[in-house]
Amino acid sequence: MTRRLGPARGLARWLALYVVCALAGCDRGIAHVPEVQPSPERGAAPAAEAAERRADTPLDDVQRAATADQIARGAALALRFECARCHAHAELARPPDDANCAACHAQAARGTLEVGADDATQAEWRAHVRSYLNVPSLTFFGARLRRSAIAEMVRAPHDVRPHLAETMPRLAVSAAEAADLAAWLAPRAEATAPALPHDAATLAHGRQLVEELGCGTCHERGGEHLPARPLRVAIDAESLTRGIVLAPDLAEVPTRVRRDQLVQWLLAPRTIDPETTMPALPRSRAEAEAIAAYLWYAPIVPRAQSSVPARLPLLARRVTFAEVQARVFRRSCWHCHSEPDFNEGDGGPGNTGGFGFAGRGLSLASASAVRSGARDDAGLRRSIVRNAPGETARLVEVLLARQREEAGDARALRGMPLGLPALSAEDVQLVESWIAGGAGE
Amino acid sequence: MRHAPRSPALAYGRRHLAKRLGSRRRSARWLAGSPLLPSIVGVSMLVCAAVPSGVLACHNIIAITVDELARRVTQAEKRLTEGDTVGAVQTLRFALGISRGGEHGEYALADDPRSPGVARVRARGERLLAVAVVRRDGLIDRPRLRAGWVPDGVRAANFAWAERILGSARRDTPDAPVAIARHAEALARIPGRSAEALTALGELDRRDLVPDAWGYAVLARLADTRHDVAARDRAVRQCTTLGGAHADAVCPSFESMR
Repeated sequence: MTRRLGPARGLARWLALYVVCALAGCDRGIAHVPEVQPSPERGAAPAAEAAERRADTPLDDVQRAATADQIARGAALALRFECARCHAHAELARPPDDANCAACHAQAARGTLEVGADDATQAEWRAHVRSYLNVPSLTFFGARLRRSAIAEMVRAPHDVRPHLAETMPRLAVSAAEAADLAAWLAPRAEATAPALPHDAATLAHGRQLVEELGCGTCHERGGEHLPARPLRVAIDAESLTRGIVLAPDLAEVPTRVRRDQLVQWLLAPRTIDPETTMPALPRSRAEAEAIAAYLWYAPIVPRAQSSVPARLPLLARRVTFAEVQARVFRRSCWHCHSEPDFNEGDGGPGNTGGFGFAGRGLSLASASAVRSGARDDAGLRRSIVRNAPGETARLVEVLLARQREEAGDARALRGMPLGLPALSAEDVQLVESWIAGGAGE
Repeated sequence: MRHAPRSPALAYGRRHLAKRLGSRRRSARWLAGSPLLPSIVGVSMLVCAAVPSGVLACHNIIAITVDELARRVTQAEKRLTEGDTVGAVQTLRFALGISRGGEHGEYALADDPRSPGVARVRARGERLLAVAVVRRDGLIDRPRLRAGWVPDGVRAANFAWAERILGSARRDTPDAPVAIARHAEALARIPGRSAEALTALGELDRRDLVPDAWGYAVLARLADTRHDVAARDRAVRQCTTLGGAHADAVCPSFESMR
């Protein structure tokens, strides 16, 4: 779900900008690039277009310091939305392990989860656990990222990290709440940065450095090919893996990164974020500035648009609940929609509540629990497997919604699994066939 | 010494089981001071506590954790759903006996029976026992947790007890279809209250929320007593669909349908 523009439209815009810049001897530097307002509609503003708009906005629109009230409201919202279930932040208390997705998964991956399971089961978990093993820490997030970009990500998440399967979940956050959360994460004002040259030669040099220094080992930049050259500096395998998984798409730089921090971030990342795995690669400030100019101004090749998988016809055979449970519910859904009696009343965010959501009362632990439905927004319990002619069962609707979200088409209905990869067309077909067969045992 | 888990379904959820370490420490403290177990067992438990497992064996006592207990209760629920009421009661005898703080043969509870985790699992087990009482036609010796013949007076008391337990569960979770349907099952067995059962199940049916084949089985019987053949036959069809491979053990058949 990366914001994208039709290739022809995007290229045409960039071509036009280049022609104008070349004819006018354009010398707008990064210092003159103002803040971009979040796009009201996801997918409508690619990074290239955003950079263009920034370049035209007055300097006094840069990010101002957040007010104490905003920061306080944001801190309270971080607790309400349970950011600490997944992210670490110096100001957020670490939740208990059973409400800490990242910590629990990390322990499972290491085989050190202190639970009532034998070695074989621990080994099975270790082999299966994939998600939430690498989650960005929020402690220094705001030191290099723009408040507006953070707010946009909270309000309408999109895929920033091409190698990370999980995305920020779509929370029930208003625009004002997203702004407050972003103010808490990025409270400082943006300073004026010196102008950077970005003539064709500089951009070409920047591109050459990006290749030479091996940025493509971890990063992608839209649909552009960045060769994965060996890094100039030594980096341990664990950090490298984490770096690759968490590396953001460099096409996001103009909308996402603070302009006053970009060069310093490239030169000495740990002076801004001591926890980062990003190595210091440029050998001089001049190199860092050339790379920064390239990242900020060079045209962006749009990434190939992923499409919604075709919906498959119902299976002719009978599908049992046991099959659906083994292939779908236990793999993806059950962690958030489980049976509260077996965890001291906590049925997960999708059942008894969490991530700021009220409890929907949905357990996917058994066929009778699935048939018991979930509460709607008005608190009225409704079937999620209703199989009326001409209708699509709610359970299938949310699975299809997630497939659409991944293709950049987020609508009002929140897709499931929340923040995790969409189910395959075959898995949706299995669920749909089970429902069509009566959703029994 | 460690016992291998009895079922591959031991993968019972990392999140659910993650509190194990803390609960084991509490358990060890409880065992050490328990008058129910010899002190040697308590000391042995402290040694065994270093080894993660669902079932711990120390000397001649096998300690059951709350997680293992939960697995047994889930197993009992599965048997109930499949129509194996006697098997469900057997499983519950083990789980409830231990969860009440006692022993079962060589088994004893490793966790504090007063802990919220154990209390919830025990309450769920008791609700399942109430369902078993209803489905077993009241023929369960509750104090001994055994299925078998009981006098009519005990049978009536069993139904009243089951209605009380399931009614309480329904009050705790008033919009939960499983709680409503199970309470309706109990109401249907109490003279003069079948209309309440029919109303509750009819409302669930109208909203496509009858949770399982058992709900439709009761609806079919209630419709039959009212000579509503169309409603009865529809309920039987639904029952058969939801029951799947276990429909024969769950769904009623009526003379006129044969």
